Amino acid sequence: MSALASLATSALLGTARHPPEWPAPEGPVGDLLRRIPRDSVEKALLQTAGVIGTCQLAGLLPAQVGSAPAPSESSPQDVRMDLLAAILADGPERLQVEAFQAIASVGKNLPHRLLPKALECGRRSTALRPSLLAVLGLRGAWLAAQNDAWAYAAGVVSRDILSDEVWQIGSLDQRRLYLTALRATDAAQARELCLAAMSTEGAKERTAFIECLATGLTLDDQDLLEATLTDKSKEARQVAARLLSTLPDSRFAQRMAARAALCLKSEKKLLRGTVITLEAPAAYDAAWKPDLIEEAKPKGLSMGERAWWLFQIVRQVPLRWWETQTGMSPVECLAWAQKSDWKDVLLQGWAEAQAVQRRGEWAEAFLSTTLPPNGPLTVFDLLETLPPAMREPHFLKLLTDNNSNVVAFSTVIDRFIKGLPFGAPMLSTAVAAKVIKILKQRIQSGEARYDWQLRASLVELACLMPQAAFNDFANGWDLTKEEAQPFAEAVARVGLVLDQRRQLVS
Amino acid sequence: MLTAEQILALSPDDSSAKAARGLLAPAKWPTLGHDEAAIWGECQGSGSKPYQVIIDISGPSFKCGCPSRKFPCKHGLALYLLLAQKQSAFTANTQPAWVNEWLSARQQRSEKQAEKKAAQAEAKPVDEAAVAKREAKRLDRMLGGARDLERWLADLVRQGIADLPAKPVTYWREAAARLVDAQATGLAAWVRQLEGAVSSGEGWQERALMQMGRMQLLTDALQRLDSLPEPLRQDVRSSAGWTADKDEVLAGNDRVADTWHVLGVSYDENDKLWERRVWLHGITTGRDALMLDFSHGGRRFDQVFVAGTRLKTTLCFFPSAAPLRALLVDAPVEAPSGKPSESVLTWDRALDSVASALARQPWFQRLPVLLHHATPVLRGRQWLARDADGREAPLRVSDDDGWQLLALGGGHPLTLFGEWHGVLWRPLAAWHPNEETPCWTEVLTVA
Repeated sequence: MSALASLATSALLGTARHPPEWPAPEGPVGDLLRRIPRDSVEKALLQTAGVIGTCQLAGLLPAQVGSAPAPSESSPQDVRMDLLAAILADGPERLQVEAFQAIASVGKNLPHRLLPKALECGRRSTALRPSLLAVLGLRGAWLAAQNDAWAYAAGVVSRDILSDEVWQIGSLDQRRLYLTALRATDAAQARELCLAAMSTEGAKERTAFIECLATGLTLDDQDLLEATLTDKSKEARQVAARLLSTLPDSRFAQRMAARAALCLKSEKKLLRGTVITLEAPAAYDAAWKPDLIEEAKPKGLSMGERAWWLFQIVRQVPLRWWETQTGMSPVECLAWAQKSDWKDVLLQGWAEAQAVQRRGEWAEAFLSTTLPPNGPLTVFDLLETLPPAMREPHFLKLLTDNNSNVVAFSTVIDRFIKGLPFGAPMLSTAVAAKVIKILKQRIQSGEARYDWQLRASLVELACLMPQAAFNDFANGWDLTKEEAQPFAEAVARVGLVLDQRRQLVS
Repeated sequence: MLTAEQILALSPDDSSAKAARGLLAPAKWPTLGHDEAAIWGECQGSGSKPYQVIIDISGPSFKCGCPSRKFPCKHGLALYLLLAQKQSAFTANTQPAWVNEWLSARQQRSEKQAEKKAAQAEAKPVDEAAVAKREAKRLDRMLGGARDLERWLADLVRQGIADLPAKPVTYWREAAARLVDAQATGLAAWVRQLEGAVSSGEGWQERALMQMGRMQLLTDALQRLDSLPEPLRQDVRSSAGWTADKDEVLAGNDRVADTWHVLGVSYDENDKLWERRVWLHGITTGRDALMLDFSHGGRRFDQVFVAGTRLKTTLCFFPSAAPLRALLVDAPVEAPSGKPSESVLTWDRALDSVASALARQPWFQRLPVLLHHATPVLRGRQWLARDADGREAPLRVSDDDGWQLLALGGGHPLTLFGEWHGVLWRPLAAWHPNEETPCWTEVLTVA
């Protein structure tokens, strides 16, 4: 026990109960301590502690511990450090992704100083990770390995995402990226890896890997997916079923179609020609179970038991089947469904099917039909099933038609933007010009004065503007009207974001 | 010229820095100009008239027409940031009248102050007897406080200090307040630090006893002040809270003219009183200096110091057995920048100066330490700085700053400057090897 620790024990219990043991070190310190009078024990204890304490502070030498941390690469200099720091500090996420992609496109990594901030951004938003992981460099991976919260980026970071090492020791996020990239170049090899993983990996991994098969999915994947229908993980089973339903020629899709066919009745009617009607199954068939059709409906679901069975079938039937089976176009199918007793189930099932199968004709059909209000489908859900480039005419139409203020202006913009994946193409120059014109009119006239959210939406929208529209969007705002003044700050932010985007590509 | 990082470090709080970034669109600034002495601009705020913003580059000092009480305000910060990022936007290069007027008024004011000071120094009617009487009275009260403190300490040790961690905040506040009443604010600060040692977790009793022992030595010294040699007498007096008068210090003869490297700036807040410590190192004399300033209510200090810059000025040191604290004698002039000097690679050598300072003045609370081979390391949850010998000293650093240092170091050594707090090191600035501008300075987080 050190001299100070021994004195501290006495002080802790009180000198009255535990008199101190006086230390008697050699040398000058000992000489000094011996000169302390002991007539008052308390005072002598404090003075002794004072002398020893001061000497300890003066003579302290930090301990030698363990081995040095492994050194890693030197710092990449980036002239745009301040720009990147500002974007990471408070830029919209879409702009952050654009910044990461701009760095990656010139083969660079993030400057070291920005790594903690960037890793923190990636921790909060999984959507940022794919583009972020590409610019972390060795230093970023080294750093992430020391913080549990950043485990998603720990392990390997190879510029070449297709390095074997990534699959062997990478984080789940990294391995998912690897598998998706491999699917694009060698679908069969990716399937082999996935197959091997099914018997060795955990439920979370199995689900994630099966999901990766969505890229470049073909009938060759059918056996693996069919086998996964009996996986121990419910999530994995559901993903497999979903993927199989997007393959119209798969055995699974055909079984589902056969079940739907039993519900359809075709009758020849006088004057009306052939009339097709639909009736939900009358009883549950135990043979449905392996295909994940559940007998008992979830608690709280407002539909009846038979509707529940029908719904589970409809959502897994290829949409194309309805067209060939009934000889009707998607628009006609929708009109037909409106007249059916099982209208809600049909529409809801088709909506779910459309969300997975993403058929352009069906989306267009849904968008051109006047759907009953409060139905299962919103126009935004439908937009999301269209390829990004095909969405903008509908977006423009929504903005133009939105005079009734049914939904706030900002809601239209936000929902549209939210559905677009990061890295989606910018608006076309023509549509951008029209959108800007509408926005200026609405804001400058004061019509949008109660739409507080619109101020944030403007900034988000700035991330989707093509270069050619930058000037138009940043300038020429007439905010002299009192009702328009609250937008001054947002318009300045828009100018800032556009300026940052311009600097990113220059 | 400062980097964006250095400029943001001048921000009084996070929200000002954020607001400043929002003002970086040149469209917000109808006028932007700069020359060698100043940067100026007009910023369109919410009112009809734009705010006129001026920065005197020497210093730097800020002036803005906005009503904000923050200093520097977001407009001043934004103006400087804009210059750092987009010099091309600064089209004007002749000072408009409003800029010129402020700069020359500033110049005149500082000249007048210097004259006034000189005049005061020359003709100061001093009633020596009255002064002596006043000082004797003050000393008497301080001694009374010291004797009370001594009794309090002795009682604690006799009864046992085991229940100290359970004491309420008021217990410590009252103990400190008694000493403040006795005009021994220094002793009161020691009591507050004792509270900190008591609540420092495992092994607290040793740290608390060390603190109590040093307090005992201080009260001992106070009671035999007459027998102590100068300037140690001054050290004891000021450690107890009776600091030498500024005019007295300036009249002293420990004046050092040099080019001073600003190694670090630290801030602490206690009960709305802000304390700023500016650590300087003389390039030719090799002397370390500390400039201490206080500001009540907010973090508002007129003279701005930026870590990594160099200033030519004369400092006057407070009398001490190990002189460290100093005052500016004349207005500092910006000097060409450079790397932090000297080359200390190990804790063994870096702490030599700590040992010799403590040998001369045992009541130092913090001392400047510069280490040229400091590798930031994280072990468990503890941040450490590793020297060339593999010795690791614990850092007192926020987690955000710790990660920042770790990212910058990446297992390699940095040059680190910081305050040595006895066993912990509080880093204030870091440099990459052979670079002049710090790559990191402590980020102040204001609640």
